[in-house]
Amino acid sequence: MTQRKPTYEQLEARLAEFEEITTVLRNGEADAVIGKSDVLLLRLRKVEQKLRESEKKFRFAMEATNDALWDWNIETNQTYRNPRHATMLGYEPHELNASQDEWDKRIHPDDKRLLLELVDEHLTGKRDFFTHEYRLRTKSGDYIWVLGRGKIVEYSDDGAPVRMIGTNIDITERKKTENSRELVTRILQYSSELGEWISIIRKVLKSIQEYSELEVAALRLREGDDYPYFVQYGFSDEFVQAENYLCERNKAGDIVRDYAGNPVLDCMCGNIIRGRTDPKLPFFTQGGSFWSNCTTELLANTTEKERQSRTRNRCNGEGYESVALIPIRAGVEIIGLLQLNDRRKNCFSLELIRLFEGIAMSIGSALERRKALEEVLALSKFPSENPSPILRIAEDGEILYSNKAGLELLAHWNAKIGEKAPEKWRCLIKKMLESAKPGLQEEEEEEVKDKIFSVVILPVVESGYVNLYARDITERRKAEAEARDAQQELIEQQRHEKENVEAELAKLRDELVKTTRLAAIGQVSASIAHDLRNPLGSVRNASYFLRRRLSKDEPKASEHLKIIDQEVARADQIITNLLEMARPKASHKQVVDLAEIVEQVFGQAKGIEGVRCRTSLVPDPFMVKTDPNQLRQAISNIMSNAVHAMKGHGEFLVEATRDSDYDTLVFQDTGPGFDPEVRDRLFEPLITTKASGTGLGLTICRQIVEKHDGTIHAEDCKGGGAVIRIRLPRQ
Amino acid sequence: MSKPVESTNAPVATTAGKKYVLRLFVAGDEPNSKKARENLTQLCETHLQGEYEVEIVDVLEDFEAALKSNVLLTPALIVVAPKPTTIFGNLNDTDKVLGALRLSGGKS
Repeated sequence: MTQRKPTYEQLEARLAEFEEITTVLRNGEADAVIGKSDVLLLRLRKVEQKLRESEKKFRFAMEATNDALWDWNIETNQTYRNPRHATMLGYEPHELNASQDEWDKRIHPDDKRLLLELVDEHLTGKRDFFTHEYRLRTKSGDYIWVLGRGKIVEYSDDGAPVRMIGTNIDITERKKTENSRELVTRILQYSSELGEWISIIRKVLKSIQEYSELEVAALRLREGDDYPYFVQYGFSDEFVQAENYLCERNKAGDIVRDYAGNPVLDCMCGNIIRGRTDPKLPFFTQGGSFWSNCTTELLANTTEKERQSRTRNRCNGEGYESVALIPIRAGVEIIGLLQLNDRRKNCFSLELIRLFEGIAMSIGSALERRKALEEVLALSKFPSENPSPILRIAEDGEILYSNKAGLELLAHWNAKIGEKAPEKWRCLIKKMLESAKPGLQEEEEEEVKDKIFSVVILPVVESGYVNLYARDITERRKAEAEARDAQQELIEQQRHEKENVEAELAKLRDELVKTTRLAAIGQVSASIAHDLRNPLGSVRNASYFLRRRLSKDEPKASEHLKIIDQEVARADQIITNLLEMARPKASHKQVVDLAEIVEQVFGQAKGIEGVRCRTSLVPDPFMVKTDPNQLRQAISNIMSNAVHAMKGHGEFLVEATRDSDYDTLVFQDTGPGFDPEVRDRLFEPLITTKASGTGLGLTICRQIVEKHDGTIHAEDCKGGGAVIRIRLPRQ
Repeated sequence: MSKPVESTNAPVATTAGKKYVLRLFVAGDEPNSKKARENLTQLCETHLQGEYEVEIVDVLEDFEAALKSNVLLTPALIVVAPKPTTIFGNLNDTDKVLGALRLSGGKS
């Protein structure tokens, strides 16, 4: 009696504690188990690794795709962007600093506020996702337009967003087309406005500068002998002063004239105004315009002769790499030019120049007439060349005019020039002309075979007709639909991936709980079994002495002592089982006769007076290579459960069969079968339906079977009763 | 409001004056330990009105303390006063903790 013995109350508390520990372990609320000499961390290592793998797979997929994708961990505020982000902005993937700060700086200052607001609204749940068109700065300092979208794909348990993924799609090209279309619409609108023509020209130039996103839009116009800037946006005062006049002057300050008496005009501007262009050269167009996307290269690679005259090169000197000069004609005479400059290279395409030529033409016509109301009429000069359908329809629905491109639309309407437009259009046109205010316009969509046209209708009330400007938006629609699909697919894919990972996680977690419970029980039992055994010994001794002193005429006290003994024995059994589980067991395999083992077990079993044990072994004798002690233990546990379930009356059947790979042992009883509530967890520790069970019997069975690389299953027998099926590999 | 005192010196003598004396055993920053710490801080501030003293023991740093206190598993909260009890797990079940502290709302 050297050790302080715990009281019964303390023991009880200890057992309750033990119970609580298993619950905590089962619920996955534990982090570590403290053993005698070490702390065992229960961290879900396997799960984490699995997650990382899935993450890696996702990243890999992200890197492979051609879309710019990002993945924002909101908790750590770290964002992964795939390499496409870099290449989209003209960088090599390794060149781009991926930090959020750096990225924020790339967003165009005018677009930033709204973008952040939209993201915020999504984060706070006001929107289901966010989508925004905004500009990003590229390596060269230019901006590209992107369509950014994002969606939260993961929330924490308390509902806070944890992760958002999204895409950035380069829509610069689309924006450009949109812009030029918008520009044409604007100019058409201005042209139909009433007002002073100077202010209209100003508006037109301002729109050109704005929508084409070019630094400079300027207009030279004849004034006496020279062609100074009439309106300009974007040039410095110094530049205008130095470049305002084109006439060459001699030393006396007089204008130099050619043999026909016309002033000699300098530089490329002079060429355009004098019509000195050669469409065979790539920097001149059929329409008499000049354009270059890199003046430095142009000056280095062409001769002055090719450039048609001496050039002052002030544009290039000022850093303007992209330069376009478009003649403005009144009738056949060139009366000025439209100049577009930008310091960035590659601002133009032939298509864009054509558009400017069209605009220049309408400006010329407008100037020639100097009457704003007539300008829409003037526009019909460039429609014939326009690749997009342009139509004019009278109030009564008669088609007055169609350019070449418009014939496709007419064919679809099944109408010719001079005939009536379809009902739908007639109604619309009539309504518009009746209610028309200056500047009014409508936009309609029309499907023509496999194309979609967007048709802008501009009424000219005074003349009683409307002009229709159609544009093929099939490609754009297709691109939009594709982008939407891709986005949807991405989200779908993510969801799948996530579901898979979650399912896998749940599975792993279950498994893990099982294994950690075993490990933990081992640890726990090792540290408490000893503590429990000592007091149990004392109780047993005390009971023994009490019994000896007990007089015979106290049957009640004797009964109580018997209960004490029984319960002590049961507690002892629990401890033994626990130690059995915790102790690492080495298998000593030998070849044994299964029938013999079953017989031994049955012979030692208790309470079997009413139970018949039957074996059906094929082949017979059934020899298995196994650790006989362990097999005996397993069969004993199964049999004890069966006997208990049958309440001591029934039949216990052992069947064994064999194929080339496996031995299959089937144990069947005639009891009521498994309790459905515990069937799925039969093999977990501490699961028991018996009032006096330890809940470890089948756990130990499984442990043994698994040590033999086998599997164990429980099922209900069709005719009632429980079946345990063990499969053991045959080496 | 007094905050939980981070300490690895265990066991610590109960300070007189405070009604509730608690000792929380955690395993570093493992998820459940972290949660238990947060739960305890919130619970103390909500229910114990400054009448408490909390000591946090990290078993990864002070393993002996866990053995001495018979703690088999983390996170574990030992209520030293008013009535000695041990609660395991991440303390998500506020009622259970309140019960152990003999406060209303708990099953005592």
